[in-house]
Amino acid sequence: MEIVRFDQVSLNVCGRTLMDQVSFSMFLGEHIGIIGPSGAGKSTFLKLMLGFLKPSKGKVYLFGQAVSELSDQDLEKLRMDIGMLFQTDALFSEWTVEENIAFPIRYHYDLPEQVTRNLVKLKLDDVGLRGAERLFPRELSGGMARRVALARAVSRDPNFIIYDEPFTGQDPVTKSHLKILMRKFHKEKMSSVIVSHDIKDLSEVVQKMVVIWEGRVMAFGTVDEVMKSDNEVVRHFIDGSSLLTQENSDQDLLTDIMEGC
Amino acid sequence: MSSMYAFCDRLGLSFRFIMRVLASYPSRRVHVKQILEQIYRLGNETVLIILVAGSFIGMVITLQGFTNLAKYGAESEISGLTAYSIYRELAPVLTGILVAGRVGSLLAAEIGMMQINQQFMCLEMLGINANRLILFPRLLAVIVSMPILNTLFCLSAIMSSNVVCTVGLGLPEGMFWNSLQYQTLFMLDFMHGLKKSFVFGIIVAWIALFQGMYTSKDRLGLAHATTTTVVSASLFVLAIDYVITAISGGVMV
Repeated sequence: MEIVRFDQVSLNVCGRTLMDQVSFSMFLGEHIGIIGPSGAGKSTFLKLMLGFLKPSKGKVYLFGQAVSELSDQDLEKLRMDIGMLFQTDALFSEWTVEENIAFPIRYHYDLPEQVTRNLVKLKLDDVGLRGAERLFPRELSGGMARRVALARAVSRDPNFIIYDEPFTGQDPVTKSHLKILMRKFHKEKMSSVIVSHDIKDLSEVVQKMVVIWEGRVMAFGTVDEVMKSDNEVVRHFIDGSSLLTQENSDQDLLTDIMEGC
Repeated sequence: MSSMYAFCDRLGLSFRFIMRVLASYPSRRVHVKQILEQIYRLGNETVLIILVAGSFIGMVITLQGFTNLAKYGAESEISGLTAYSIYRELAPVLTGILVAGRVGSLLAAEIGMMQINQQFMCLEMLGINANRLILFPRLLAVIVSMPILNTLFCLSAIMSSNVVCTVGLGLPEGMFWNSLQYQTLFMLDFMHGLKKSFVFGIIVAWIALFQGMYTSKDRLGLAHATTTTVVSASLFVLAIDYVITAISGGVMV
């Protein structure tokens, strides 16, 4: 079953092309990494996928439905099947860990309070944070906060989860913990999209990769295929080398000065 | 020309924004709970400022008015004059400006911070309508709180005026209440101010929520949003006050 499909999607904002004829498909059970440098269009890609942005051309399909044609209510229902881990964690600071995780459960389901609490405990156990219910987000370390955010993302047992820059700003121990959790969720038949600019970490948890550069898909395939790609941009990204040579860097600077930028 | 286009664009965006928020009326018990919590939070935190400001304004107007009325031997009319200016102008306008400073800046910063921390997107991803849960309750809370705060401003101003008149200036208590009763028409003058405060509530909440929601995510974004909220809301309160006064026939009504 196809979960996500980008069909010749372009996005233009104020005369700038943010996405250029992107086509891409993802199927149930797949774990795909979206990779690219900062400003390449990874967040735009996510926003288009989830219906927060509408494409200028082409269509985005999520679970077989054209996202841009859905009403707000239908989009709300569709998003309920998706879990998302945000780069900022997006925890509500005035709520305890338990309230943060329980809120979507309490909002959508009319469960007895004890059942909700047990569910929260179960989710906290899953991410290795048993006993953290009463803590406030300000009392958590960065790694703990990310795991709480992950527990909330999977609180309604979604079958599709999106991780937005999960490894950014995390220490090696937390990264390794996150990877273990990701693999665990993968085994539970949860499909996933992981957005990152860290190719090393990403290659350990995904099957396929999409390399995005300036709003275009430069490579799409298995991790091995992408790693062996001979595309110049992809190679530069994998090798971590700059595309600017000293000569053209100086030339760009000179052009900018001449044009008064 | 481009700045004019940008202004119109922003204006259109703000109208679309407020329409979207107004359409997000409560549909669950949790939304109603949020509205009550916000009324308590936003209204309650402003009460003290309003009472203090109201009492000082009442005292100043009484002293100023007494000096001038005494020249014509009309000291007995002091409470009527004070109440008239408080009810119709000073209470709604000053309450509007104080709420813009206290609540408007708080809302702009709070919503802006939530936007920067991706909490709105997070709620949408949890299948929760953020407009319904976050924005509508705050909008309604300010609209409901404003007339209540306006009433408290009037009460504290009249009571402080009474203290200045009877204790400070030695006027008889009966004269004070008599003049107040005959010089002002409660339903006309007080309600005129109350209607204004209702409109000011919409203006302040609208500007604050919009500025917070569309704050830029850079270093100065939040500071700019709060400053713009206080300045714009205060100016709009003064401008709309003139428009309402002119439309309703001004002092001749």
